[in-house]
Amino acid sequence: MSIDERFLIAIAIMASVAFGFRVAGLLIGTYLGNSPQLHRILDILPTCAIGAVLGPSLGEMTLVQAFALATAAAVFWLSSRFLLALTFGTAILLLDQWIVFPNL
Amino acid sequence: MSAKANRHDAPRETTNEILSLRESCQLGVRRGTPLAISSGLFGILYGAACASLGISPLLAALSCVLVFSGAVQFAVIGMLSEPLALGAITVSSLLICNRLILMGVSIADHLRKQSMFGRILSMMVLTDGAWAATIAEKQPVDRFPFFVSAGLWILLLWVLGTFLGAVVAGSLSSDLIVSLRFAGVLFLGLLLLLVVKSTEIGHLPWIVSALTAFGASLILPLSLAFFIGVSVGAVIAWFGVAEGEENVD
Repeated sequence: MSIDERFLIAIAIMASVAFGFRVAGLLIGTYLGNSPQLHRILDILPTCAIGAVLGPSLGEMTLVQAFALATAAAVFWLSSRFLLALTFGTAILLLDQWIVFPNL
Repeated sequence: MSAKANRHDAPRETTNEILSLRESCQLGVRRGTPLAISSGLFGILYGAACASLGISPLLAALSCVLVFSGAVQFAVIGMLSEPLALGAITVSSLLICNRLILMGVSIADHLRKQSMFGRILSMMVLTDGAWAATIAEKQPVDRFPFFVSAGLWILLLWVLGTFLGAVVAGSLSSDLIVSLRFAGVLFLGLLLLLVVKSTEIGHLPWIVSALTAFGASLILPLSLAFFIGVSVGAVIAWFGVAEGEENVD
């Protein structure tokens, strides 16, 4: 099997799972009750999911990555500008790669 | 956005009248722009990674249109060796994509006015960025066109970035690609702040989730650590902590 054929099969699996999960979530959300507290919880849960994805990565961060993350968060918190914050964080990663520790 | 559009926004903010379809679409594109540009940059990395495996640019772009979930796409391109590990690809997709269920549940209430067919079709563009932009929006927008236009804009730049990355892959060093992988963590972290800062969602649930998942990951498999983290965060959320009121560009 060529790499393109293997990739097509992988795309079919990923697309089925991703779209299936999206629609499953939509249907669950649509047919749940209208309790304001429930909907508040439902809005919070994805942030918990993102937090749970990020948590383990935080433990494996290098110092430079931690600094990049802290800088990006601080810039966003102060300026409320997403792209500016991401640019600062990414710039630190690139500086680490090209200038500060190019051989590490 | 143009000055004309800004003039349209201003009176609506004071009267609380729901924005028109066109204005909602325009605002969706505007709010989605920083997220779309970020996605486009990740697309370049993804396209370059695909090209390094010999995958054609068109097929790499097709995967973005059909899957539209960067995390799983990045994970699976490392599993394409011969023979194809179908089980590993399926399990990875199930584990990585499961937060899409939570986002689908969360966004459902914001799209209720639309037909079911339209809502299901719109799920093609449900991703972290489109969800975050929609949840975080405080103007009285028509949520469905806002969500779809933000999602399509993010998708467009994700696809274009991927195609571009696949075409220029030869000029990107592998060290650079590895180094910028961490930008994915930055992106997710900032999305989290975007939502928390723009809504009444407090910090405690996600912080507890992150710390719990981190602690659990030291002794348990990542997937189990993820579920434990989300579950503990959900318990904290249930008892409610609300804070944060600020507009975000």
